Amino acid sequence: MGKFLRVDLSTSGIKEEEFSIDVLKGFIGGRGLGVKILYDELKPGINPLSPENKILIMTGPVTGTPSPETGRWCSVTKSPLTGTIHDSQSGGDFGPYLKFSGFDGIVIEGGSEKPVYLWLDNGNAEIKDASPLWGKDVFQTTDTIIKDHGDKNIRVACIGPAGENLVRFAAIMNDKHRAAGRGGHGAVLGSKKVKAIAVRGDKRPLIADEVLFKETTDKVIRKIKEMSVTSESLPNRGTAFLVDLINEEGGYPTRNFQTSVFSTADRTGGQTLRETLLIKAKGCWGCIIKCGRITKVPAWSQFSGEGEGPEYETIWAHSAQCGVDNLESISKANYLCNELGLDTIEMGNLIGLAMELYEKGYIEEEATRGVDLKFGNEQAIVELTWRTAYRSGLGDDIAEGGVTLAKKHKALELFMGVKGQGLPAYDPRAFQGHGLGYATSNRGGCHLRAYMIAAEVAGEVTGEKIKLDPLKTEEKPKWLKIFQDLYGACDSLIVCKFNTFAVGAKEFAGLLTGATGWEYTAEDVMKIGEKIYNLERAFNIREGFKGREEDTLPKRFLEEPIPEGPKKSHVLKLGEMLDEYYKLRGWRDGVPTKEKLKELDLEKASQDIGV
Amino acid sequence: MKFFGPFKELVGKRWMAVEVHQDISILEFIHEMAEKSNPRLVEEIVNHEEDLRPNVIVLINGRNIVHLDHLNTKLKDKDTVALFPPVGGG
Repeated sequence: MGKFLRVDLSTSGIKEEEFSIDVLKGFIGGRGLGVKILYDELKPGINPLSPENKILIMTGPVTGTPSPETGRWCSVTKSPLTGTIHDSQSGGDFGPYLKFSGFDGIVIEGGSEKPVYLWLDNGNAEIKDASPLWGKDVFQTTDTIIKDHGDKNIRVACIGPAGENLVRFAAIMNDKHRAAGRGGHGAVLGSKKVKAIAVRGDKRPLIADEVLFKETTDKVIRKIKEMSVTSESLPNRGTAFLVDLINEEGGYPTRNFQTSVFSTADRTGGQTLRETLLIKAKGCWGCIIKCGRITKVPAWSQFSGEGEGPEYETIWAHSAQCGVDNLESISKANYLCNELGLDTIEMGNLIGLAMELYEKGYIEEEATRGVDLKFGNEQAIVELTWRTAYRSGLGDDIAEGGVTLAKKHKALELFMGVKGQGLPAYDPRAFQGHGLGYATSNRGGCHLRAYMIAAEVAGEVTGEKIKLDPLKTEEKPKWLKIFQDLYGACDSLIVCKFNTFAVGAKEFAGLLTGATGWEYTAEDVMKIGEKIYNLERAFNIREGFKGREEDTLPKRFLEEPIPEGPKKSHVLKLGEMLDEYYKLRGWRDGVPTKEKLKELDLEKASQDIGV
Repeated sequence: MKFFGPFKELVGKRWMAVEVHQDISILEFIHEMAEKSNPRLVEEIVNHEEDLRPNVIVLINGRNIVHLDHLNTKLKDKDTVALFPPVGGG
């Protein structure tokens, strides 16, 4: 690990760069290293869609190594949706192929006058003209680049029309169907006129201690095969199976989180997907779990199409969130989001918001331009996806994100999001720990800063059977911190979070030590995760976030009980958990204390944020 | 009782409704269901000592029985039981 590219689009300059061993050891790679670089290099207050922003395309020290679930990469930037530091993780093949091209990551800064793409070829790098690609969708862009170079061993990450049109939740898509989805990283690339990054090469990463690495890998494989989630549910049924379980638990957000049970959820769940549209399972590079699904909606359907997904979050976002139970239209919306380059979670969340705004009279008929915005309209979820990508009519408002859309109609309380990013597919009133995670996420409404559902529902966490009562608040702050710190490290190695149903910090330490030759213990791994979480928090505070003020959820969750179903009458008891969480974190009102930052070797951050 | 995933495959149905006596425990209910559907259902849910297997989620009205009274939890009229393997994801 250690060879990076710095691309200055304003001068068309490319140079190779290395970071100090202390920084690499201390922040690992991926998310951690990205946060460190941006904390040091970004001035506070910059516009995320200006040339002053930077976006990092990152791998980690175990990316592309022969251990399972190491096929991931991430982008790190200041988000145009939330204004926070923001990393977005993705699977597929692109991550390892970026590593094989000879580079561990790319720092992209400045802005180009004309569309360009980055071409990384076995140790060499060029900025190439992308004018003929501008305007093409993700699939066309990928196919054209591969065809132009005449080599199927190329992998491509790119933006679609949504990124070009600066939709604030535009995704970076890779391998056509995989997404660095959340937070609008696609718009950041679009603002820099970077259409794509194409990679090729045969430079496999070296392993410093092959014996230790193999020993740890064998253990990881064994544990993945022992745990039910990773050996049975995900491989055989995919993530879509969660539709059935979360709905049965009474925590499946429906019609913009107005309730938490969807009466026809079974029409869109994993069992139905398996029986109707599923072609086969698919895994990312180096994956033995293979949770991905390839599906097809037949040609005779008005919603015909094919591709990867829809996954659980996408199904929820276009199904219960919008009141739609037609799996074909939901799948079509999913394929479209991939082709146009959109975050499926945000897209569905905001269609649901638009539907509630319409049904309550905030959005008038004229503004819909002929799209019937009543909950349940299976056409609307497809039509609004197109209109958002191309910023047409109401789509232009949606493209600005939930806060802007809801504020425009003086109904901010109806946007179900945190720090500007829409909430995903679990009602926080039904899963107290998960709700605390939503509130305290550094990147806004997110289920993957800490997947507390693993403990509150699935019951498998790092190879142990842990079953926490989802309705209780006791112990949740402690567990949330564990998850957040572990995932900070996980996103930096980079390893798929599904590994964490089966393994944890001890195995991560083994993989890191084996890959790099630097000694890491499980405690070191968790400490680095904690450091990353604190530096992210300091970044946000430096940007003007206050801490406790933004660590909250819409009133719907704090004051309106779930109206029906198994979790009827429950609200999120945030107040019972937040103070304890801050105490465990060593924060005061959501701001890291001087002592905590000193403990984590982040003294400069302490000065920057005035503590 | 609703059957999901491997339980649906075992029983061949998505759900069954059965009338039982008041205050039946969930363990007794599982035995009754197994008699009416597939005897293997019991061994998929509990081990030889009749402890709940770790890779089964049993919900009564959406609540995991491990947070209620485990296999002694009593059922009431119109209760819904759901059987799942552990499921996680995104």
